Amino acid sequence: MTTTTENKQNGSRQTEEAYKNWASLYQQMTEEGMGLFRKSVETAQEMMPTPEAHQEMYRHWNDSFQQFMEKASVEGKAQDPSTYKELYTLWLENWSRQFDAYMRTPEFVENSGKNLEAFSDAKSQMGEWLEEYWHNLHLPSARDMREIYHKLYILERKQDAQDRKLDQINETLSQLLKAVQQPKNPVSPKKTVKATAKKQPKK
Amino acid sequence: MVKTGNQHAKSREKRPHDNPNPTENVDYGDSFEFQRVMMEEQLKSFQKFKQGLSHASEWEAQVGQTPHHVVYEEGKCRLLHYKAQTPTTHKTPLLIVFSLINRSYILDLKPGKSVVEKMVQAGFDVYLIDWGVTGPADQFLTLDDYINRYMYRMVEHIRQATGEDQINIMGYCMGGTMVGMYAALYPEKVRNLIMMASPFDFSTENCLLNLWADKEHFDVNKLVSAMGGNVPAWYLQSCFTIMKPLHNMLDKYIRFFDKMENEAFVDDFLTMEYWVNDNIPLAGPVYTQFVEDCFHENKLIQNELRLGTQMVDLSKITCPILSIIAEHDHLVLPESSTALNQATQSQDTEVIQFPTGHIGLSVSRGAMKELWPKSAQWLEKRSQ
Repeated sequence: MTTTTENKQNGSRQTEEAYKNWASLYQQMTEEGMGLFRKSVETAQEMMPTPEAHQEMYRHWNDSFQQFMEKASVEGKAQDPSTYKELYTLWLENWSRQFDAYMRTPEFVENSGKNLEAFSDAKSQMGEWLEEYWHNLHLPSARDMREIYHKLYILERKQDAQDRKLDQINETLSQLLKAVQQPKNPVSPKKTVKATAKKQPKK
Repeated sequence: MVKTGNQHAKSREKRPHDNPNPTENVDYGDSFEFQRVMMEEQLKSFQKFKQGLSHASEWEAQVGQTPHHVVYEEGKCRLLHYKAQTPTTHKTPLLIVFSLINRSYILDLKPGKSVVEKMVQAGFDVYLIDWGVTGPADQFLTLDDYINRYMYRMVEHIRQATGEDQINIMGYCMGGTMVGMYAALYPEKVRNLIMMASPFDFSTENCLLNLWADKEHFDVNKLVSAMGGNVPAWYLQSCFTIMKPLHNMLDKYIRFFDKMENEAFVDDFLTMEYWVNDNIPLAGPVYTQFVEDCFHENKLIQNELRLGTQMVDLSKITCPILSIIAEHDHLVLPESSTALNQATQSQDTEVIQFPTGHIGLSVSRGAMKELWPKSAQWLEKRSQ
């Protein structure tokens, strides 16, 4: 039989244990949360090359635009639009040429490549962030699904290979059957009789 | 300039209501007259806009109208069959293969603007491969799967269903490149080839895509991995849009506004927009191989491209080839398409260069009126 003091002690021990469990869970969750936060900071860092690349592209655009204006001011004297539509068409053609020339420059290609790479890095980081998030919720993540899809794909490939083998066997068989059914030399009556004779038992 | 009362009266008499160009005889020195004309013009524009919006809001996509039924299915791929609409049918059927990033209706956009319709009206039994919409479960599919599995089986199905050993195949854009690969692997099964704006030689630097895919600055594996296995449609779409930024983001809308009271024009415009903005994702390994083997290494035209365990040797193609090229194509340049004719051993090659763009080949009025009847005739002669 337990006394009131023992009961009180048991109760406080249980409360303490519950608190400890809660504190441990909280700590775990916070750490996970911090981990996720750290990931998002890393994601933002991955995107850092993007503004630099943009700045570089903008600088190059300015240079290229200046060249275009110089050229246009010389060429423009020969073109004299009489309606707004003509002016618009002229403007569109010139600017389209300018854009096309700009997008062909090594600077544009290089910087848009950097930009795309930074975007890919950031997207990968975000993907990992999400993987961890789903994993913590005990839900299947994209990685888990990818494994299943890969297994399915391998199975389909194997099945297809078997089907192809069966097709080949069928084709060989039908060719053999044709060869057996058709007389080699239709002029020779003896062979025709033989072939027919062979065919009959099968029927 | 100050005007007298009589001059005001005169300019009011000459109101430009019946004049096709309302601003022609307006005296801009008269601020009231100028404001009146401007307001009238604004009102007209508003009415035009309202009418255009009304057409646009009532518009519904009616693509893929030519009667057909599904005759074969594997995975997400389906084989559609369109029966010839003539009393006599040509002996050799026609299989149409389009790009993996497009929907099945692009060559059957709407009645009167359909390549499929033109071909069934010319007496061909037409089959069309619908690749389906690539999803996460398809992220491991390779070019080998598409050509040696899906396309192979569908061709087999057509051969069995029609009793013909050889069939005609037509490919559009990337679909044409895939058809070229198939024909090189199985030349005995192909009677005639029609290649519509299909790239084979990727060495030309005139095309922006070739420049942008430069291996020094474009890490395709990193991109595919970041995208989660498949290349999303929005990424591909944005690449195509940015190739002609002013046309795609400004000019076409201005032209639309200019003609938006014309119901037929609105219908054509929205149908085209529906197609252009309705792309589908591409399986990562297909994209990777296409970029690495074609754009980076240009292996296809040099007969060095490998599909699974087989080498694709274009010189094994001996059947007649019709190359249809769009003169103003900015996606697939003419020299990239015609390279196929020199790479094969075919003795019967023909090139039709048509004055339109990449998409115009399959939807423009000119193409429907001239190009497709001519192409059908070319095929008729060789399908007896």
